[in-house]
Amino acid sequence: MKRAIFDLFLIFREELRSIFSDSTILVLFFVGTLVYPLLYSWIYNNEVLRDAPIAVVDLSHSAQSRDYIRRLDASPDVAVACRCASMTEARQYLEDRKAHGIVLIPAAFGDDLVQGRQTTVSAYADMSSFLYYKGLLTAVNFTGQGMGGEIQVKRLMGAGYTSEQAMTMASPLPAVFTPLYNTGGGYAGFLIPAVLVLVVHQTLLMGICILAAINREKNGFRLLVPMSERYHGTVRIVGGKALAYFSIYFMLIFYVLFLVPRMFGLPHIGNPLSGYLFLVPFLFATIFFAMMISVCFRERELPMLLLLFLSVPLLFLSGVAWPLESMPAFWRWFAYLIPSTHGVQGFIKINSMGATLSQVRPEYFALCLQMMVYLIATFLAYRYQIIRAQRVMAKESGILDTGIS
Amino acid sequence: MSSSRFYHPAFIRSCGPVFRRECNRMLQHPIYLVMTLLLPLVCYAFFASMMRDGMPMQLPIAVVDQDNSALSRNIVRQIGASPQLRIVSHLGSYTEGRDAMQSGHILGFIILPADMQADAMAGRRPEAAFYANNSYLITGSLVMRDLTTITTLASASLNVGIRSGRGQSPMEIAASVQPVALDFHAPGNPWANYSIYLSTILSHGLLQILILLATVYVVGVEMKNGTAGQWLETVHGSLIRALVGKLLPYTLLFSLMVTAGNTLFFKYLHFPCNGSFFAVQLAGILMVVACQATGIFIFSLLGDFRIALTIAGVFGVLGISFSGLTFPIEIMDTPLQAFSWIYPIRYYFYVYQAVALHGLSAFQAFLPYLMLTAFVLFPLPLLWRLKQVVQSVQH
Repeated sequence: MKRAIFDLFLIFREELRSIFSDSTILVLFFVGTLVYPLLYSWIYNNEVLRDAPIAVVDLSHSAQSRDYIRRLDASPDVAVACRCASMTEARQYLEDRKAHGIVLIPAAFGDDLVQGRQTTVSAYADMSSFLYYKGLLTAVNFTGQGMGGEIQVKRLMGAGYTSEQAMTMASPLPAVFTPLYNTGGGYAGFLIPAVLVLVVHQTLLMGICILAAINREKNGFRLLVPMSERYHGTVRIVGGKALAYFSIYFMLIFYVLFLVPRMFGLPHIGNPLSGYLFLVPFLFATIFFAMMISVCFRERELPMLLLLFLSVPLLFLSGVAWPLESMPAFWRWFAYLIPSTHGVQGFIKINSMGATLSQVRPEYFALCLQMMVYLIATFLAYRYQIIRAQRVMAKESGILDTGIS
Repeated sequence: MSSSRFYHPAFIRSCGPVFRRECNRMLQHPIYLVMTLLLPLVCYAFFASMMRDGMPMQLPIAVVDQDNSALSRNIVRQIGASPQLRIVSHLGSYTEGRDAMQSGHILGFIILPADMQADAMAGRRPEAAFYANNSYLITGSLVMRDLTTITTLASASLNVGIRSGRGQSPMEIAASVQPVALDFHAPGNPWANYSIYLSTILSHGLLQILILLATVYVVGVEMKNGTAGQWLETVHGSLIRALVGKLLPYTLLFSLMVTAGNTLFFKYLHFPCNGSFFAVQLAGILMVVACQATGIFIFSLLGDFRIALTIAGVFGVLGISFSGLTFPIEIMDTPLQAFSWIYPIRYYFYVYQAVALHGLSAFQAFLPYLMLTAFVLFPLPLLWRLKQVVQSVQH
């Protein structure tokens, strides 16, 4: 027993040494986790679209159309960048990217409103980004409804109602919208928390796989486990290695998942202790998942080649952009197998929405289950590798002992 | 060496031995076909199947109906009839709603206050409050949009009820209830289909990561395995020929993948392409070559296989953000905007916007094509360095 703990500690130290002696691993574990969050926070820093330039074609040239344009310009989402004489001219602005939307005010706009007819404004969105589309739609809806409401009230007052009666008639059942969490509606506040969890997941996954491949490349027989007296107990090897990764990432997540949201004003209303308690099974599930997969890699370059690519699909599968319930069943079940899915979901709930540990129970249990299943799988895979190492060792020393198994 | 020589038939023919050698190598280890064929195809299948509905449907929401009147039940029925929303629970209070949202059971909820109908009839303007979860920005705004529409319609129909009681004609009612109507167009994406935004560009964003990594890998693995000398000798020590012959099989395979992806999206799934399909296709193939050139550039600049592979990966992943797809480049800080121009995917997206969305011809949008072609020139001044690196391994 004492020997086992001593071995475990040695393997732990040996793993830390190989982590700190390889430049690729250092870049992944430390530069990756330190710099990526900063870069992404910088990229999505100006998180909301304000005053997107649009072109206006005013065919009405009336007091009413000028009022409409003034209101449109005053809305937070768009700014009138150019007034065009024709649609052709406006389209040119759109093609040259000087405008990201067109609003066309018909010639009859002023007359229609004066004579109490319904008038129709046309809007054309630049579909090159979801944000432009959303901005223009919000702005024209808001302007049209605001102006329409005032016209209604004015007309009703003209017909002899008091302003209060007119308001009641124009909008008998007003609805009030309140966004909950990430209240500014920012892109960073929505995307970055998920990206941060994925940075942890992906650097660990690639790093562990690369370390395993390095181990294989180091010894002449391409064995995962070195042929040494100390590397006999599977529990010691798996435990020692896992603890090495865990001890590094237990510290790193403090920066990635707790400091970064506070440094960049991202949502962080959760209880940090709940966050940490939640992330412990997440880290272990990810570590064992990575160790299980790492058995397959024989060349140190391949994890980067094959796993980096996964980052974007995994972000999707985590369900931040697209709810898991709306995914095809195949991808949904695939997503459930990956630690990042539950990690992202649980972290967003705790960090961005202030959920308690009991409210993330499904994610917590899923991660604990993954932790155990992947631990067993890793154990079996390593056990097989150790047996192979012993066989090779036995063959080498010329005594082929068939009794070893 | 003038660049026109690259296109000379004799030059291409002289690369033949390396080309054949590379094809043989590709068949000997599964990794080559995995990264050139399997991963891109899985990636296209992923995006095509993932978002086949275009928009997420049946988003789970809750209703807090404290009124339980004909009016409130009518609003609940309207919500239930909306294809994009699905009422998963009826709750009693705001606290219960917030709790369900925190646990992730619902994405939004609406509170219809007690005495709503009575108050509305008496002209006391009761307020319906609704909430959406902005931690999931996209689904949050979809829930908001639908609930806004439903509540606005409910209010308008009350308004109409009052007016038709006063004997106005439907036309008059429409004009008084909504004096300024809106006719909203989304050219190039008439259904505001979320899948069209993402699939077309994101899948090629992933492809550019693969191309960058594959380019660095196939060159570096020669040095790692000590076969670099043999590789150069095949073309009598000409690095240019060695590179062209080596990378050409990948150019062909990745171009085939771009073609497969574009055919899947534009021809099979009928994503709108207002301009020429071939113009988009051409930009895709130029992007493949530009990414290969960028890979060689990174390798030559850094001179070390492992570091180059890591940097190529880091660079490639950021390309997803710098394509300008999900988050417009114009909103980013100026240094980042400048940085975005060194990404081939940025120009591909530029062409996609101009040709597929705005319907321009390749001649009208020639600049991004020119830039993509220019990427081939960037590694040329650094090739002497790459040759040094290759030869240093040889000894």
